[in-house]
Amino acid sequence: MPRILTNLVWLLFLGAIAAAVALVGGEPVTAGPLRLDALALLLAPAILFVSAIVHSFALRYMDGDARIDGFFVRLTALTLTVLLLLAADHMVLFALAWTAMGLLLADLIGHVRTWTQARAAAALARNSFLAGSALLAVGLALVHAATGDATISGALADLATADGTLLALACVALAIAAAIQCGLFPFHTWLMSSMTAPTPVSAFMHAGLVNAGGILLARTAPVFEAVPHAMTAVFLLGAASALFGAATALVQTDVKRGLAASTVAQMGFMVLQCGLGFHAAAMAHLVLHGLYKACLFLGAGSALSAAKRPDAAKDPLDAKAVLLALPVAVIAGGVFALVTGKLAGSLDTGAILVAFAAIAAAHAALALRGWRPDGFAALLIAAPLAIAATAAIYGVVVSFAEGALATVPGAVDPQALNPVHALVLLAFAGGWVWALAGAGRGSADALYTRLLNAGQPAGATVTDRRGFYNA
Amino acid sequence: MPEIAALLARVENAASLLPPYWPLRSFIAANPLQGLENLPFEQAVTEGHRRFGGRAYPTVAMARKALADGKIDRRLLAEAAIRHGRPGLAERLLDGTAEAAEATTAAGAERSAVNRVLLKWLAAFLDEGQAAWPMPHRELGFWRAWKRLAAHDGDVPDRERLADMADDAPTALLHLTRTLSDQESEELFARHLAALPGWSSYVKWRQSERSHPWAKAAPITLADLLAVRMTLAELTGEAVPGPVAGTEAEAADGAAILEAWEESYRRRLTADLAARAGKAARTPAGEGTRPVPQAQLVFCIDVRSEVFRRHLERTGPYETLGFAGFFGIPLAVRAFGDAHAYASCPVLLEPKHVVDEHAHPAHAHLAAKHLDGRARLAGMKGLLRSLKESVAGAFAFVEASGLAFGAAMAGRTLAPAGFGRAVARAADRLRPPVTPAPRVELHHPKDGCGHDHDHEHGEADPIGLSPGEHAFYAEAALRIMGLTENFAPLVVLTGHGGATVNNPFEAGLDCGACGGNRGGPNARIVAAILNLPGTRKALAERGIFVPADTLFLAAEHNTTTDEVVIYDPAAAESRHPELFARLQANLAVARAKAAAERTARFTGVSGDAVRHVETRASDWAQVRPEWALARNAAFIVAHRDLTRGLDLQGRTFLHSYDWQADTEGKALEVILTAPMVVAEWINTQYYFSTVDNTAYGAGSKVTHNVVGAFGVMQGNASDLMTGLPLQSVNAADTVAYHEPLRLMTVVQAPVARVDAIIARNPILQTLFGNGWVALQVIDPATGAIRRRTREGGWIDAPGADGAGTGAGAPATPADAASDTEATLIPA
Repeated sequence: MPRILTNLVWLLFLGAIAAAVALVGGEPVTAGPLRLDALALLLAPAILFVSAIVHSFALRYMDGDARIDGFFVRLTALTLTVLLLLAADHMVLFALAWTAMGLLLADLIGHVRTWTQARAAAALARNSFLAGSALLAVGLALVHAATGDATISGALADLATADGTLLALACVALAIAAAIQCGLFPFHTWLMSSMTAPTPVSAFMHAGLVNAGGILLARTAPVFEAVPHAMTAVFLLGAASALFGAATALVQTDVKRGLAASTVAQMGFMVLQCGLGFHAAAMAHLVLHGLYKACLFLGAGSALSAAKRPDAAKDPLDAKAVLLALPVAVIAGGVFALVTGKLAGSLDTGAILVAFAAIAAAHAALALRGWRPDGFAALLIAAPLAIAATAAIYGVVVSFAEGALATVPGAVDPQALNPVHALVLLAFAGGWVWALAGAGRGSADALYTRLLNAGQPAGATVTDRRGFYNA
Repeated sequence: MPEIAALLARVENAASLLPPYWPLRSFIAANPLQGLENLPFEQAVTEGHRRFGGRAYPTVAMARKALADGKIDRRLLAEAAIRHGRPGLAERLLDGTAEAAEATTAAGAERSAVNRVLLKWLAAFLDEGQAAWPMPHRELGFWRAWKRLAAHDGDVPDRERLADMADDAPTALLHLTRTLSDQESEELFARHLAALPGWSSYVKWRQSERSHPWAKAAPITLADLLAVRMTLAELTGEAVPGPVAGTEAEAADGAAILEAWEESYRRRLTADLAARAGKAARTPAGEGTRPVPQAQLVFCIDVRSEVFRRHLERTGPYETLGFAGFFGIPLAVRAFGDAHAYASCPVLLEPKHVVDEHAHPAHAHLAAKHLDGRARLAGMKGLLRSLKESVAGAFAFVEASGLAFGAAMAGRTLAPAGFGRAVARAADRLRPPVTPAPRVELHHPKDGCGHDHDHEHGEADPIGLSPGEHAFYAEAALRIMGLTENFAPLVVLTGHGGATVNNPFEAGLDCGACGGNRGGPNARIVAAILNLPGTRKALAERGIFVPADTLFLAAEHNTTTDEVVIYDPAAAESRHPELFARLQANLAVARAKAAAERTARFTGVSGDAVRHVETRASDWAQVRPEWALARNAAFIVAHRDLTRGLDLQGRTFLHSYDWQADTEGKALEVILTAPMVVAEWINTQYYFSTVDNTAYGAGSKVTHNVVGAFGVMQGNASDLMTGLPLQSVNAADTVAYHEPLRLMTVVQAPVARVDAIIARNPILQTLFGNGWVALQVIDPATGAIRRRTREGGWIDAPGADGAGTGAGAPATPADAASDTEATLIPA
């Protein structure tokens, strides 16, 4: 059974690639309640790839598990549910697929039935997902009420004549549904408590299932764009999580919870991109983060190499370092802007994406400053070149996603810059510099303790006596 | 303050119930009931159940399967059942009516908010580099640092009361126990420590390990731990659970099952050995000279060596020996290019010498490039880590690198061996491989390498060993392994190490005698010492004449793939080209045979065995890279003549011993008090991890969560999971692979000599007298096998007459042994 299902998912992956190549440039294909558009065609191979890898990995990793058949059946069913979600155009089908996905995932978090805390983690996830499903249903019902359409694509075409209040309420419900699914702050507790899942489930969850929130936002992007300030609200929702997750990740001492906190941050950034009007870029982020996080989860057994000696000294963040980082940031940001055309027209929210690329480049340059095996010249020339090349790759990936998704409504719709954008960017820059310069050396006792507590799993999901672990 | 001293003594007494737990990177086996070894086994396991909720004996399900598989002899089970007052046990097992001695672990225990808060802070305090932002104030020690931070912790009720508590942990503890008698407080300490036994065991190790790099940066004591836990208990009003109860019927059944299972195995082994011993005794000693083999290979006593030795001996005139895989020198090794030395000897010993490695002369020209490449690789790793942790930079980084991570993930999953080779090749290009060579002569660190040395492992100037020390250790090693004459032209010291990826228990596959490190460096050092002309001369003065044309070589046995790599082949190729070429070819033959035997022990494996084991070793999804020391059951101290050709199924530790060359028993005393004690740690760790994988083992790997870069927890957070993971002892969730039997030691020596050694060593009286280890002695003169009773008497070993080995139980074939002996012609 496990082997057959694994082969099936690999076949589906090949099929999805073929479908994407054949159909991606053309008009969406509609069949009853299903609709294959560029978004579905682009994401399906990505999700199937991760799923197939996870299936293959689990063949060896779960060998000997007492419930291995049930495990694979659920894993495959979950994969099919996500495919259904991607293709669902009818609102009822979308909501049903969403609900089924949550229930299956919760069940896999509690794969070890004899372990009370795993069951508690499953229950927590299930309750969170059910609340999210209810909100999703309400949101879609409101969109339906406002437009009279039962399909998502139909509703998006009729937004111009829709009732603004109903749409605004729909945005609230849909945004919260997405936030729960993505594990965004303050709905992150289910995600931080999900480490009772076998490692392959965590890999698939962080690479495929939390993404559904982003898919929902991308699917319904025109609804948010039709409501004043809704995009800024989504931007803030994402930004809060990105900052919260990044800060919480700093204090995590176990590898899996550290990865989960990082997912909270990355999903926040993806939602932030949605709020900037760059849904295509958000979809690219979701796919690439999925590959990144799945790889790290599957490799979570390698974490002993994180051991350090206490005397590992950090280079100070001095003027020389800043002087080195600045030009690298400018070059990398420029390359990224050039490749994606983000700064070509008037100044819009594209500038925020450029700024994040520049910060990453500056960070890379700073991280390299203590490392001079080949002398200063190499560092001065090779490092900026490598970083600029990386920025170019990043730009190409984003441009590709934007090109491929050009036909999806709202996929690339940069917003006008407003003070909220600037404030958030400042907060990120401030937090970044603080972490580089201060964290780990200063003694912000209260902040440290708060972050430590914020990342704790729900009490009921902690195996607080050894004997409770019973697998 | 005498009050404080008395309090700390009570803390130590309370903690004596717990074994220390080493960090995973030097996975050291320990008896989880080490603190109860002073009790007879049956009482100790009962007390272990009371204290830790752990099961005492093999489960009914295990017994049923062993009975069905013929591993438990039915007649022996019936006898044991009657002895324990449980007649009809076998029938009840087979018809399924035997009471299931199911996990009573923590049944009825309540959730513990105190443990949850404690888990959070212990993980934060003990972290060794996982978190980018470590817990503040750690240098103050656990109690003080916690007190500062707990003032901000919403999970701690009434936390304003913390300000009134003493600033040092012992005083605070004294206050917390002020109303209790000494006895009551000691019992209370024991219960609090047993509340999270894994974490307490790790704190016990950290407290004792003064050379640990984190000892200064984050000092912690058991008193700290108790002060924090008992303060939390007082603030929350949570009671600490007392001991749990068990049923006597279960214990009696379990004891009968264990004895019958052990007896079934032991009698078969005894019968096999008796046949050999009788034959040896009939052959008058000194008749004819022993033929000189083409090569002698010294392996670690590890049970995995037995399989390879057996297959290698069948390929040609080779003699193999067993010796503790660190080869006898208490060493710390500073590997080539490393700044710090690591201890590479049994944890029973403190390293007394530090040996530096430098680049082998043949690779000296690559040394600089290698070190440069290493720095570059480390820089890249650091860069990746820094970007992952970057507060604002991680987002774009993920997008820029996602495809590369995806490709790596696909490669590792779909073609693990090929991907592993490709990565190794790429790394080799960046950092050309350099064979290290040890510098064993005494020297001052200033000459040569130039950089400073730290003093973690008793590192003192000068480093290396003096000629006197060379001679001392060389003689001791040769005498203890019984290799004092008849030297072959090639003598290969073979250390060992495992090969696995993505496995927190990696060090568990390496050499326990080297403190959980690979044994290759030790082999290189000892071989180098034995090749020094000065050492040879000194050995001759002490009566050990090593022929001038004998060359000592170092090698490493990869216990996951059974590959044996000989270091520095150039020397052997120039001195004994033909012998060496033949040896290399035969090592490959033995490897294929050993790999085939190995793959037969895994489920669902077909195809080329060597390819399979290589894939297994490089597969990041593999939870059972090898069976390591599973099924270990006996420790044989004897000349290889006694066991050569016997298929011991990788279940026996084999220590070479020549009773005739050790008239004073000094060598035997070392063997019984050091390697055998370590074998007992390993054996009991396997036993308890098998009979109760929750209380004494680490649980399933599939939900492991590595914490602090030193241990594993289950799921979101849990006790530190000490012991072996489920996959190391079980073939499947509900199918045990390891057979939980206590160790039986078999010694080929006069009984009087063994008795004298036991009389001198309390540890042996404890282990043999309390039934932790059984002892049989083969009288070399008569070939009679005697078993020591717990009381110290000697009886004829059951099974020695070949009777009672059990109907239907397959006797171990004494295969082509005589053929192999016949091939031992003079070289």
